[in-house]
Amino acid sequence: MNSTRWQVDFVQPSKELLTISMSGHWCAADNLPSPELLVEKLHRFPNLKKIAYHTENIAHWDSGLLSFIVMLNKICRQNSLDVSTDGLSKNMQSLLTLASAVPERENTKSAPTQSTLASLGHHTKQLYFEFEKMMEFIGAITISLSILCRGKVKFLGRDLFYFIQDCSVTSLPIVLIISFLMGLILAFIGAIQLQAFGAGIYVANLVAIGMSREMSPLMIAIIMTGRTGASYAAQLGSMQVNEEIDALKTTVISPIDFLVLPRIIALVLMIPLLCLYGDLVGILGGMLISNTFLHISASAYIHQTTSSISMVDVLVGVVKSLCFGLLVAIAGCYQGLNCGRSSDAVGSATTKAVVTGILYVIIADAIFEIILNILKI
Amino acid sequence: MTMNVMPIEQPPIQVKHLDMAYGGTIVQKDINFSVQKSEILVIMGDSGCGKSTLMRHMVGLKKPVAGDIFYNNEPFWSGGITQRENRMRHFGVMYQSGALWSSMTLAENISLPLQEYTTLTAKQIKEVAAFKLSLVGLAGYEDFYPAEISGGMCKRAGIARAIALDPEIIFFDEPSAGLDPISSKRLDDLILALRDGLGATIIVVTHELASIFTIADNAIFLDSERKTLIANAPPKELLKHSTDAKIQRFLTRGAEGVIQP
Repeated sequence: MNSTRWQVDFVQPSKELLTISMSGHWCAADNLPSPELLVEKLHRFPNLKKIAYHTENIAHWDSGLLSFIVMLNKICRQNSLDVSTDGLSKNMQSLLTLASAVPERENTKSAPTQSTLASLGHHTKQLYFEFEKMMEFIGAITISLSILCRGKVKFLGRDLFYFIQDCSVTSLPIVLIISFLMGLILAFIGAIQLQAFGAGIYVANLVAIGMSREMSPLMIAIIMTGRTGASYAAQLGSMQVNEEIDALKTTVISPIDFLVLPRIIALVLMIPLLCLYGDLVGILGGMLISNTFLHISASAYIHQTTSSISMVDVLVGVVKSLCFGLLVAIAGCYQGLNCGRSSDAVGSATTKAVVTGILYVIIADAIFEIILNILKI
Repeated sequence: MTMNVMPIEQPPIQVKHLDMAYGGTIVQKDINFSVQKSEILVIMGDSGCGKSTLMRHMVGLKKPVAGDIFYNNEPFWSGGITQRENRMRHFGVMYQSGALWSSMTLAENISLPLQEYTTLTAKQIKEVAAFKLSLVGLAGYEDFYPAEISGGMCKRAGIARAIALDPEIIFFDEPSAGLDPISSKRLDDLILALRDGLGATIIVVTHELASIFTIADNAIFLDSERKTLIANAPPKELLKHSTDAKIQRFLTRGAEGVIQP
């Protein structure tokens, strides 16, 4: 192994010329020397003006050798040393000629780092632009909706049907599991506390009101953000990457009319139904716990539930989920349409759709609570 | 006494003092050229010089930083959105990757513009779509989805969609890149036939030399270093008379020693 390892010898035919004689294996994997180290050794030769190579004894070489020579040449020239590449083999020379055929482009490196204040300003400006763009997007959706209300349908009925199916029937299994478990968890939490006061039956109130007013709309909105919102962003994002959105624009078909509207309508129409379904399944989950742990009969539980829950509670949940559905769909479509033009951008658009979707839903929920509290509903 | 004044006919497309930028970085500046009716203009230039960007400005996808494009003497960008959209209805655009709408079959892709802008019956639309597909050698592929056909076929279907409405101006973004030589030749024939048959004005972004010399009536050359248009003439004339080293190298596939800089 050692006999074939890379080796460098210096031969000095004259005072001004130094030949770097290379032999052995010169491959990238052979732990090659650093060019800087070699240049340091050149300082041992005063009055040196020119460097030449001798490479006939090299057994094997690859790009490792070439990048070593390129670096060495560069450093030598910086130290005002002349370099002759005549001693390199023909193949090496032709590759080196190719590498230096197009001069290195200047000003392509990243901009110098900004001061904290400048970057704060930059981010604030960016945030403002983002807000402005979002408002424009919402404005465009409003215009499209008003056109739709005048009876001009500009999307395919087939698309709408597909999206309705996607956010209703195909979402049922996940909604079933999550809502059932939510009812179950609520009942467990309530059971421990209420049993201490001998008020176990009130678990039914807790589950019914908790699910219908709060948990069901919120959990379903979060499920739909991860499921539908993310898929909207990914679909529209990859359409952006494939220039499909551009093709719509140049055909003078508005992407908002054609792509965004059916998605928003489907989600807004279907999410309240999912919410009602979630209410029901959650109550059943609560009933299971009450029955097994608190020994409350099913009929007593149902009676307690129907007497505690009012239409207003259910409606509050439905209205909330309508609003959440709109926000989730807007977040997904907005991120998709504003996606960059690489596959990486589609990934980040999807992530952003989920993060902003959940954020909008939570903020909207908080606002709802404040308003409902003021209105005493 | 009346005097008949012959109007001086202006070229239908005029690009005047156009500056293009991406996020504050100027890509090309002060671009001026015009395209005559039924002319095939080729936009040439090295990779990354802004050929496709220029096309995006001309088709209404990207607003110029300065300057404007005039179609039949009407400003395209400063004339308002309604005017621009009306103009865009007379464009056909073929994208680099085909850009077919992936949720629709090939026939549906071609039918969509027909449904939007013509009063044809469903049967007529179907016939037109089938005919346009046969023009690009895809007869019988009406019910295929874009994901079910090859990249080259997607490209050709993209051309069929671009010519769905028999547009006045057709834009092609690197139509022959990635096509086999026979499909590429067929495409050149199609471009010439569209011009001769429909009288369409055609703008092609390409750097396929064989194609350039076969189809181009006129060409412009964008330079990425000088960041502007450096030549505007038929490619054969450029090859013969241009003294610019870069253009010579481009048109001769980098043959050395034709003309030294």
